Parts: sequence; C-alpha cells; structure tokens
Amino acid sequence: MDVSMQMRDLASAVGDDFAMNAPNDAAKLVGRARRGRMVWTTGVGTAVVGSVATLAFGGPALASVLTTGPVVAPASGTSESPSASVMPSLEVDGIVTPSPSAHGEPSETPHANGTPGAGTIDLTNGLNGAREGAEDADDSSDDHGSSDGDQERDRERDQDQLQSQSEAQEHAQEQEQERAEDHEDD
Amino acid sequence: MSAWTQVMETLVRQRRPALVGYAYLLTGSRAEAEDLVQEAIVRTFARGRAKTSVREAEAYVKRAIANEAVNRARHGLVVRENQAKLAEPSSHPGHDARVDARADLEAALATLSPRERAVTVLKYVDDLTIASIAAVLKLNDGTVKRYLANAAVKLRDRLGDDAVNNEERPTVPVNLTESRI
Repeated sequence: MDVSMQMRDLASAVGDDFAMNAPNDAAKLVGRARRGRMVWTTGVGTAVVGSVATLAFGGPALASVLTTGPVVAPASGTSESPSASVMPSLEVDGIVTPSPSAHGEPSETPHANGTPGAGTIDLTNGLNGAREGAEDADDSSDDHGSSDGDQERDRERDQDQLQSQSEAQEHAQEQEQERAEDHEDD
Repeated sequence: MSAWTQVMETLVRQRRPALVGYAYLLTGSRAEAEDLVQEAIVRTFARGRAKTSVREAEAYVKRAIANEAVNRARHGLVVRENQAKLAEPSSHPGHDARVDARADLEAALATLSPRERAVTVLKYVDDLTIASIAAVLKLNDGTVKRYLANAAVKLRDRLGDDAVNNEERPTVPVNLTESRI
C-alpha cells in the first residue's frame, strides 16, 4: 500500500476515534466566531473610517482630532487672524528684533521655531497647517457673508499693523541718527 | 440565524472528525490536532467574507490548518506524542498488520521537518499540484520540490521503496482527431 492510502487510513482512523467522543460545542464555536467577527468588523470599519478621514481632511486634521491637551488648544489671538499673528521681523544694523504678535498678545501655542518639551510630540507644524486651513475656510466663508463690523475690525487691524511697522521704522531711524552723532563726536 | 452560522454548524458537526484526522497528519498529536481544528474553524469564520458553502469553508479551514501547523511546529509549540514511539518499537501483542503499518507511518512522518510534513500531506492526501502547494504554503515551486524530495527519501527509508511515488500524476493525452465533439 502506498503512502497516500496509508495516510488517508490514518487520518480516517483518528477522525473516527475523535467522532466517538466528539464534544458538542458547535454553538460555543459559533459564539466565539461571532465575537471575533464583531471585533474584526469593528477593526476594519475603524480602519476604513480612518482612511476616509485621512483622504478627506488630510493628515494634520486627523492628527488634531486624535491629539488632545494644550498643544492643540488654539490660541485666541491667532484664531481670528492667522496672517497677522506672524509679523515680518525687522533687521536694522544687524539687530534682530523679535517678531511681535498682533496686538501685543502673547501666543499660547508654541510656534514652529519653538522646541517642544520633553515627552511631547511635536505636531505643531501639522496642527498649525490644519488650523490655518480651517481658518482659511472660515475666512472664505466670512468673505461671502461678512458684516460691517467685521470689515471695520479688519480695517482697524490693518491700521494697527501699519502703525506698528512705521513705529519700528522710526525707531530704527532714530537709532541710526544716534549712532551717526556718536560717530561724529568721536 | 445567518447563513454563515448555518454553514459553520454544519461544518463542525459533519466535517470536524475528518479535519481532526487531517490535522493529526500534520501535527502528530491528537490534542494539538483538535486545538488546531478548533482555532482554524473559528478563525476562518471570524474574519473575512462569509463562507457560503461547507465545501468552500472546509477548503479554507484546511489551508489554515496547514499553515498554522507549520507555524506552530517551527516555533516549537508542538510536542509530538509519537516521539516516544520512535524510541520503542510497537511490539504489543494483538496488533495486526494494519496497526503496525499506522505506527510505522507515524514514526516515518515524525522524522520529517514541519514543512516537509506539510508538503507531503498536501501532496498525498489533498492531491495538490506543486504550484498549488506552493500557493497554500507561500513557498516557491522549487522549494516545494526540494521538500518533497527530502521527504520522499526519509519516508522510503522507513516505509520501503514502493511506498512513495514522488512523480506527478500522468496526464491523459487527448487525441483531438478522435474526439466526439
């Protein structure tokens, strides 16, 4: 007898022996499979929803959804005018002045050039991008239905910016004049 | 009751003994075979799309058994019960030739590595081709041939030269001129 027949005989003998004392646990196995199926379906569903969310809103937005704590809390000063929160730094005679935020309010969120503390995940770039994207959307919606009060606020903000820039320029000119006078005195 | 639960219950009630025998060929341990079949059935129905027929489900379960048996054996999770049988010859009184033949076969299978054993079972019990075995075990065709050749040598040592025919089944030539289409 070849090995093929021998192996089938052995398998059927073991199977018959098992059938003599086979446990009647079909319902139990079905229950286990049903629970596993629920877990599997939940896992696959979560993965699908995550993928769709990633495709729809982008990675930074998903990261902002998944992240909690002070890192993701939007700063009140930057929420209204993201473009005004970053001022161009003025460099006069090699003196670098720190870029002030709009209205002189301190920003609550660490900026991109700030180093995060130990144990924190630096998601600020992505979060800022996500926040800016969301705020851009808000701005665009404001453009369509902005009220007179909002326009006036924007005008005031622009005037404040221009005023702060002119003040900085005047300050630089004064510094230059003082240095020129000191040079002449020397 | 959903369709897949009916298929699963039918499979468990009707085909479980045969699956345990099949798993025993792969593991060499009755307890391990029962555990393997149970896990494979649950896993087959717990994930993926629902199986709509008992035959389809049994094919899935057999694949799962073969792969899991190889994985467990390779990670040292299977303790072969017939290791002791190799050491002591089966000379119990009252044993007929058939029982002796089974003991010889179990001893011969115990000499094979997990993958050699798996390809042997898939070839001689399931009648799978080299390509099908390679697909089931995720191996190359050449690797399957090598395992089969090594297994044949070991089985011949134990069971005799006539026991193992390692050649592919011959195909029947079809003469198109004599066909009655």
